[in-house]
Amino acid sequence: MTNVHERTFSSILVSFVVLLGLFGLQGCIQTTQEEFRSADTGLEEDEIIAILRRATLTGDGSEQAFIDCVAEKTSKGKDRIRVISDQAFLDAFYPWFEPRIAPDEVEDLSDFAHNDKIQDRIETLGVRYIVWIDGTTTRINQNGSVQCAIATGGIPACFGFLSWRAESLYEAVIWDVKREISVGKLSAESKGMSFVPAVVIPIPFIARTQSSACTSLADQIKEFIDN
Amino acid sequence: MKYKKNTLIGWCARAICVSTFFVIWGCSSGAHVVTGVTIPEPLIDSFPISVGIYYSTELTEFVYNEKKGRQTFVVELGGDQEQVFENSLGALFHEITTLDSMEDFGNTLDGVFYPSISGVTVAIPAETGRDYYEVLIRYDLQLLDPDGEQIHKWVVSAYGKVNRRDYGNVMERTNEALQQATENALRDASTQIILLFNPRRRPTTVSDWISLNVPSQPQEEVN
Repeated sequence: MTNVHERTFSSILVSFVVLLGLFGLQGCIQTTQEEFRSADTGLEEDEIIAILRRATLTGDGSEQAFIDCVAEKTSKGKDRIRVISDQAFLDAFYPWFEPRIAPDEVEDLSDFAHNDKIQDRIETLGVRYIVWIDGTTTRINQNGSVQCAIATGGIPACFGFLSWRAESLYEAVIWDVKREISVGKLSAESKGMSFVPAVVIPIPFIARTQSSACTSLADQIKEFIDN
Repeated sequence: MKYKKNTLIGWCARAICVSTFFVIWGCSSGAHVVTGVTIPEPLIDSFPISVGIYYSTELTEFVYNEKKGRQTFVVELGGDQEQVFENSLGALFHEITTLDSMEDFGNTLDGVFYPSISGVTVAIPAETGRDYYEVLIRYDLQLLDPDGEQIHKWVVSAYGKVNRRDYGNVMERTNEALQQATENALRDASTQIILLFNPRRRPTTVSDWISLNVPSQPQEEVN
């Protein structure tokens, strides 16, 4: 009888924590997306796209996790597209797409037309489109704090309340490598509220704006390129 | 009543463990980074020139060590220096030989490179207020002719950064972040060394040295 009660009590406690977590994860995210098309698109069977981070040396660069997320979601699910990852592409074309010397404008691709090694590599890999991703997730209106310390009696504990508003704003510019033109621009914006209450244990409730923007942008890329 | 007491004690024990973990994490001191960068083979044509390179002990055993407040940051840079220079200069020149000393270059080499690190700066979000872990490595790179006379000396500022958000939302993995920022800086160093030999960027003395040693320039160079 005791074991039954004990298990029931534990189950209720665990369910409560899980539910609380789920509500926290789902909490209040708004996503909007935009699309601008300047040319037709399409992909042959042997062609792939490269999803790259628009990295500048001194400016704000997108998080690597976001680029990896978009590449993974674009290459999976319905209407999936074959994608070469950011790192694999940079390594294959080293040093031509490094942040210091990567082409800024689509017209700069014509500089590569005279370089046989780059042309051979493009053909071998079958790279048709380059998707440049720019943007970042920022915290605004951060309030409160969580302090962790060893309390009287040697028991460690955390107390406080931390909250912030997160905004994920990302833009994707798509270049057609074959025609050396820019074919369009996509954007995804997600906003949400996160908070971390701490009474002995800190429990983070993170609004996953970045994940939401990633899913939105990946779906847009697939739809845009499939035309 | 007893079962409730036992359960409560069990949950309290778990709570203490979790809190201890957070306290230990919060008190962790700085970072100790040992880099292991892999720089890919550059997609460039090489000059038909044979060069030598001398790695001093100061370079191959270089360690950055700085105390920032209560935290200590250590970056062991020396182990990756040969990779940086072998990769860039090895791709730029037909043949590269590692020298044991600066005493005797021999008659087979057209020039010798002598790299050194003149300074390292590490910046963390806590001190800059920015979202980035940043590493700046300043190199001096000397090119000497076979007689040991300096042809040119470059100052290379290699920079690497990573976004803190890639390394944890609530608790950052500082060591990992700093390691990646350092490896990005080392990769940037290799890129910059390749760019030093761009016809539009290289100084006249270096162009003259290339002309002297190359009967006719290769068709493709670093653009």
